[in-house]
Amino acid sequence: MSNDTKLSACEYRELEEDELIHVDCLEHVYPDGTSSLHNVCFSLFKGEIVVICGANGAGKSTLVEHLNGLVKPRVGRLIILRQEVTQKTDIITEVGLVFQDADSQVFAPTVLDDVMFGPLNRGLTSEEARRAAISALENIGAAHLTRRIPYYLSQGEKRLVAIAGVLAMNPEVIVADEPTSDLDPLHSRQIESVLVELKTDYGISIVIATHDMDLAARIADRIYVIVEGQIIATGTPSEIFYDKSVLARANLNQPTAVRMYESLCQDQPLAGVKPVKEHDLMKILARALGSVQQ
Amino acid sequence: MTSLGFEKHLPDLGLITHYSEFGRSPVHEISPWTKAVLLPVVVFDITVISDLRLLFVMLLAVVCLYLAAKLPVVLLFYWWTLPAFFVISIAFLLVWSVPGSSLISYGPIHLTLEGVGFFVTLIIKALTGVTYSLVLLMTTKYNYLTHIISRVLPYPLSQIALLTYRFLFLTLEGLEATVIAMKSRGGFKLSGLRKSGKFYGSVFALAFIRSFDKADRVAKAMQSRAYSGKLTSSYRVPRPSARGYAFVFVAVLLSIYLYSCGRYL
Repeated sequence: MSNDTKLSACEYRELEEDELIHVDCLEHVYPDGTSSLHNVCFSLFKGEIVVICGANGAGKSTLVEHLNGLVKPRVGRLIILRQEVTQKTDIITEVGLVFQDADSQVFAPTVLDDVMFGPLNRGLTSEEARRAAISALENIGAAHLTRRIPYYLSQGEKRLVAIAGVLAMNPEVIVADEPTSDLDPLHSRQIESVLVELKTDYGISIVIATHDMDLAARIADRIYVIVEGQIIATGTPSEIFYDKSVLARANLNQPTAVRMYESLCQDQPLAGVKPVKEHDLMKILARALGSVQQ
Repeated sequence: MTSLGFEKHLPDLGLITHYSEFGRSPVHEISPWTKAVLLPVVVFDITVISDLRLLFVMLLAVVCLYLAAKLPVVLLFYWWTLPAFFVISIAFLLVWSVPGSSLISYGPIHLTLEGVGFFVTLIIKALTGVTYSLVLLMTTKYNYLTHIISRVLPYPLSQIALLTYRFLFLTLEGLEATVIAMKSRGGFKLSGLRKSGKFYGSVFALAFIRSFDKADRVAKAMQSRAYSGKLTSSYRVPRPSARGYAFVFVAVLLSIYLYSCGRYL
């Protein structure tokens, strides 16, 4: 795991071959002078799910808005799909952004119109845009919403439509800001499985900003921990979630599976085993119970 | 979005969209161009006509059109209250200065028969305009309106008009949310015109400020989906039929006649 001592001396790094998003020493200051990002370094590689974990106000959303050029860097370097983003660069539409507030993202009169909005803006004909929209809705299991009016959808359905809206633009990367916040467990799981399928079935790389540690534990390949606009740690889920000091600094809890494992095995930790997902913990417990019975 | 109690007086965005997108009636079948062209004709007529009987006939005709479109009648009466309230608040100040045969007199204040007529005229004009606008919005798909506005107005103005249209809905949505939140904490139990007026003023101001914030977020979301300042329409708007052209032609001629003959001005 890299920690803040390694990241504090900020230098521009080499861009790696399969790196889709590359951020070096990014700074962002709000108009009132408050610093929201400081020396942020970040990478996203092809085919991975990266989760940015942080408490409310840590700077997750500001970082996320940089990742398709919606906010442009004044200090630092931002390279998206091998294109350096400057003040003059257009928004990179190959990076789809799913906003935290689905109500703001889904604004057209019907779901189909909303999902067609992006493809039409990219110059597709109405028939091509319609096909792309229907295909995107089908791919995430939301085809039944096609003719619905967004204002009458539930939050979970709106979130699905928002994802379909960016998926219809055929992006290489999808960035989702708090994709499961305000959702019940059922819809939360549905969004989660959609995001995982987008990675496994369509090869889309995904960045998720969240403070839901269970979600992060279940789907992340790598994790960044952000505190007051600074990345304080990065690593695999097991590296991050078993480091209590990092989580304490970020005001985050350990995921349920990690907490349970540490409670159950605090006296006799199993060598080489650090489960972060519930089903991994279940397997370990089942094995342990089996050996006790024998 | 659901409408509860007071909120029934605010046009329901979801319902308007539902009728415009999925409504089925003879009025829905009329070409969007015909309905759109009739809007300035109606506005022109209610501006130049001051004869109460003619205005009443116009209101009746527009209400009949509303009924023919199979739109919710009860809600129309709720939706009339806000524009009526707005007009009454202005007309109430003007009505005392209209000369004519006095009905009530108290010192320098006179209420005349012509003053009452003026008051009713203003209300009928407002309701006619509002009702026809509702017919247009609730029987025409948003994308058709988008296309028509972008064809009729020059580029920056058309975009401003279209985004204002959505912004109005956002403001209404914010207003409804604020009203519900305040109502849930007993906010509408205030008595007295001054107190409740102040209260409503603060509700409108709050909703307006909040909708600015929301509009900013919508704009960001649109930009991130390649919106570059030009709304793209995906629909081909049906052209008016021969009857549609004829209807518009007759309506325009009638308006010009009413305007030029002078006795209704």
